[in-house]
Amino acid sequence: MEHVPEQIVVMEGVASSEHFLVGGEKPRRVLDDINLLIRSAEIWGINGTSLFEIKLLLEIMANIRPYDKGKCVLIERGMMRLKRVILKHVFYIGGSEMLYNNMNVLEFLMFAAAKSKINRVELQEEIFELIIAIGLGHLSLTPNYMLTKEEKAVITLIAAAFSDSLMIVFNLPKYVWDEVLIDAISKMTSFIKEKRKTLILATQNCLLIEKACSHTAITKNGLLIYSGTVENFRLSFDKVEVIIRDKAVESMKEKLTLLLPGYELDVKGGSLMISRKTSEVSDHGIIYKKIIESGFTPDSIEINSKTVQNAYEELIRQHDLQE
Amino acid sequence: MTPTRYTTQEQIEAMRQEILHEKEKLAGISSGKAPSESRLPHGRRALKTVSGAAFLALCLLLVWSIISIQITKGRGGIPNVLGFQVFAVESGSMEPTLEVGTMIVSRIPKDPGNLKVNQIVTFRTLSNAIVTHRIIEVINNNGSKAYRTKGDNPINSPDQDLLTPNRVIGVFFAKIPF
Repeated sequence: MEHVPEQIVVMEGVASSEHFLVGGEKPRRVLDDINLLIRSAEIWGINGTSLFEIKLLLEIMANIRPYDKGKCVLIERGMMRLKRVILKHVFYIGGSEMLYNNMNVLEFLMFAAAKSKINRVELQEEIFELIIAIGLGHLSLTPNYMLTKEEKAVITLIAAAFSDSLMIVFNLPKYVWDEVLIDAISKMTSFIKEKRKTLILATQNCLLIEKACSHTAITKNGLLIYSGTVENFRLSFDKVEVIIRDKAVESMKEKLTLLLPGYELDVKGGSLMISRKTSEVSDHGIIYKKIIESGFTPDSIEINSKTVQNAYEELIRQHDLQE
Repeated sequence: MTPTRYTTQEQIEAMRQEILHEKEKLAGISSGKAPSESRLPHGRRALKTVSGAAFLALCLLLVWSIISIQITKGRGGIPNVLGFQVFAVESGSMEPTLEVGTMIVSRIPKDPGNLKVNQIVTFRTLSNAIVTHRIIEVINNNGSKAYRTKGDNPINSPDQDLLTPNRVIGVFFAKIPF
């Protein structure tokens, strides 16, 4: 049986060769002391305050950028600090111009999967039905030149899923994803996991991380400030328990502040967010009781389902306060 | 037809039908029915058999030629296929009939002692060089034949040495046009 490496990326104290030059200040490394472990069949969403940082991190992971300090092991192979070669085990997507414009989507994917040993007709059926299943049936026979760059990127991701590469690096943090494409990527990640491949994607879209990723890593000022599962991230950092929507949220906030001393109340976009101050699990029933006691009947009360967006904002806020 | 931005449901269904059709065809072949084969008319089937045999013969000839060329080359001889040899003209002595760089095909003569005037022959000179010139005279010398040869180029004079039949390699057969 073929040996499938368990550890796909191991980074220990990695620092980038690139520096930020800020006027009057000491130059700062773009990335410093990065420790990260990515295992087989995990889907990682790399987010951060700087697009350049996250793009560079993925470039180092794909072995196309040198690094200065530390150790980086890629698919159980040590990466030489100055060597810039994309290994055959890595499918790197750094742009959307990998598609041939004289083909349509299905033709291109058949071309990309040509090395596959599956019967051509069966392969064509599998690819075609997969495109439809991930919600991109409306693009299945569209000429490639008519696609947007984001659509092209997703098609390239499908090609990567059918390749021999164990690790897919989807390094397009500037791209703007709509719901259809987020859903398509999310469904593709299930397919990628089934094939025991690992996907690492760079994005600042929290919804994409929430829907598609099993793990996330967050960078800020060149440092990794979180790495772990998306679920843990949401539960640990999104402290908003209840969201109240009403016209009179401001007066409601004043009254509820007195009734809920263990909670923090914040008005955001016309909604009143009730967040816990501690890391303990709160009882939504108590909050509901206190709202009723206040004498208000809000238009809507919603128990927050814990989002990556809220967790991300909270994490960044905590780090801003520390600095 | 101008391609559209989005694939329609009709196009998707048509593609599905096409794939299904291909799958059925494939299933027919793998189960040994070979529907397309059995429906071939008798004449076409015969033609297919003949062309198959011809192709096989051609492949065998090619393999045999490669082997024979290698063997002959190994022995220091001039390679030939079915008695035909290919030479490249390296000098202008036969211009304008054969220009420099022309590829010619020569046939090994059945009887080198019975060649005629005007035939172009490829032969070894006494200094062992290979030359292609025209026979301009057949000389009978006490029962044994010899040939006087000359290049077609008007500036050439007849070759000094008479050509004896044992040094004849081939008789010009054709010029390869390119």
